[in-house]
Amino acid sequence: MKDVKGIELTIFVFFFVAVTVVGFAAARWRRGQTLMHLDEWGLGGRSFGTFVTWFLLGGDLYTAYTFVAVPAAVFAGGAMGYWSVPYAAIAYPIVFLVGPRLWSVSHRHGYVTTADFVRGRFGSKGLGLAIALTGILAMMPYIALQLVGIQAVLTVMGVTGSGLARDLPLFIAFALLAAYTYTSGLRAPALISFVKDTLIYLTIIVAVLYIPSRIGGWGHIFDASQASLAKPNPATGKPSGSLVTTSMTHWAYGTLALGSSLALFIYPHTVTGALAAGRRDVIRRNAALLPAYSLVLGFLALLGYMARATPEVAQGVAKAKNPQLAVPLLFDHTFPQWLTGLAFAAIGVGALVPAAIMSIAASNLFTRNVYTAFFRPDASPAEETRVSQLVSLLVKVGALVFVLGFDKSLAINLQLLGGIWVVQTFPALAIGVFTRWFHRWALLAGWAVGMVYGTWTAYGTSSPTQKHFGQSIADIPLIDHKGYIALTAFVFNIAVAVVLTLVFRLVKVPDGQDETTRADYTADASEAAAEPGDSGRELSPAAG
Amino acid sequence: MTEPPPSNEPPLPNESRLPNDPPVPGEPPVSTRPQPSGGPGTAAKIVAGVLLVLPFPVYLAVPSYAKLTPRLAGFPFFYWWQLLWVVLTALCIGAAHLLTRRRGGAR
Repeated sequence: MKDVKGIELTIFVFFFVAVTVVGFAAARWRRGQTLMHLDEWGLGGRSFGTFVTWFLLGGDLYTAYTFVAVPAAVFAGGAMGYWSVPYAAIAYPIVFLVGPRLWSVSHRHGYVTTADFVRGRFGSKGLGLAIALTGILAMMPYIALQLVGIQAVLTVMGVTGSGLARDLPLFIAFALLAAYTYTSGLRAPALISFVKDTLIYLTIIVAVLYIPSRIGGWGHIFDASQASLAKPNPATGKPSGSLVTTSMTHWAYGTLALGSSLALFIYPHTVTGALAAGRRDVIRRNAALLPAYSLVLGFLALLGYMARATPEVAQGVAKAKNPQLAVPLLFDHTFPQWLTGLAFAAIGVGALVPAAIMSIAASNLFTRNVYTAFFRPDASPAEETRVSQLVSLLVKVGALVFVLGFDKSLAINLQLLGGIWVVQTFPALAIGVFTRWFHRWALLAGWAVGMVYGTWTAYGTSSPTQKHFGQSIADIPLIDHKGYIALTAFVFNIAVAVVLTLVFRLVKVPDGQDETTRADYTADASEAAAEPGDSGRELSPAAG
Repeated sequence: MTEPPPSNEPPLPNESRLPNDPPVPGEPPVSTRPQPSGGPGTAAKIVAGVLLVLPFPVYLAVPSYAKLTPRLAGFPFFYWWQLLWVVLTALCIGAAHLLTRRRGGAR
């Protein structure tokens, strides 16, 4: 614990404490009748408007991934790391198409999770279970990525050590997070996201205006990065990257963007944030408003180049052998201490908000689609909430396993690994809100093929620092290019689902019962909720 | 939070669910699918659909923008083009929203 940076750390700790207070106080914010109901604890009362939802989803989707992992990827690989910009743009037309329908049907039927919807739509608890387990699994590396983000700023502030002392601050941060998530549920991250986004926007505006003027302007930043990227990397003997994608990387770039954009809205934490909205229009508007954050992401990513163009920072990263430190070191080097403290607080809080929502989303999935569905069909809302609260604690432990067990040299791979799994739920979930053409068992088989292929292929990739799960891209069969494994697995998934649907229809395998009606998918808040299992129920035309 | 009051939506037609929706494997059916009465006009839906699809070919045609020039304010083409399209994508979605609102939200 030597060379601790006093002012930075003080400001950082101040915001952490402030956020913790806000987190606990959030239990009283927009309070409902009781907190002991999943609609309240897990979905914040399903009442948020456009404004709150914009902050909540912004805080939910733009995470330590955005502030640490993406700039680190650009720092390390140049243009190849910039694919998250097209990803963060083309995800929103999908949100606009899928989101309002999923919101409406969930509102009508009281669905809390994605798996609730799939079970109701396809009449299959088994398919619901598959969706739920995939969601829980995919949340773990994503939460772990948040921990890596906090770790990076702690390291740069000099909070280091060996063994337990090294990880202790991280454990304390997560214990606090776990405590207020437990008591306040989704209201905690919703309220904290206001603090987080204010800090983030402040930091990014200052960074984008101030740092280029300090280090010689944008033109210089790009030129210096280009020269630096072209030098052979000592580990591989090849250039680290280039300023634009090459014929070797076009495919990887496009498939990473497209595969990730399919995943964005069907991640459990995204759906949790979206279902907390009070009206259908809130989702539609936010699909157009959230790209404001994507623009911020596009500039944040370029901080990776600023780090590369600043020799002291680039050397510091090389010495630590950890590209995740690129942005923290850049701030530390160029900002006055108080501003660095503020920026680090932004990154730290920016990691806590999504981690809270992700753990809530994963525990809702467990409670609704494993516990209630299979073990306690008549669990009361209060019991469900208690189980969810407890599981939200366990989920954080699960994430720690990923942090300790996986390669952190490119944290972005943690998110991409989650993406490989979650994309396999796209047919049942995102296509499912449009059509019920697929047979439930065909969807299950397609999912299984996609999961096995994706996991197996990812397991088989290596990186200079890790033998397995080293990369998220691999050779695409039949095409002489590397692409995002998630998308290849998704193509297999769909192919199997289509073929088996035709086969099952031909041999007349019984189809499940659909408890939703066509009108459910366009219903708004003013329309009454459907009774459970009441399919074909008429909408009251006078509603609203 | 000041929000405009919920839009007064015309009553939704009471339809019985079709057991098997038209098969559209592999891709979410985009706006061109005819919707029953009560929805926005077909022309508006086609335009909205085109607007929503447009960003995909733009971004997925990676070689088309993988170049350094022309530069804009020091930014190589690769970067400013993609940043520009973040804004344009948002505008496309906003326009699609305005084109299809107030009619049961379309899709």
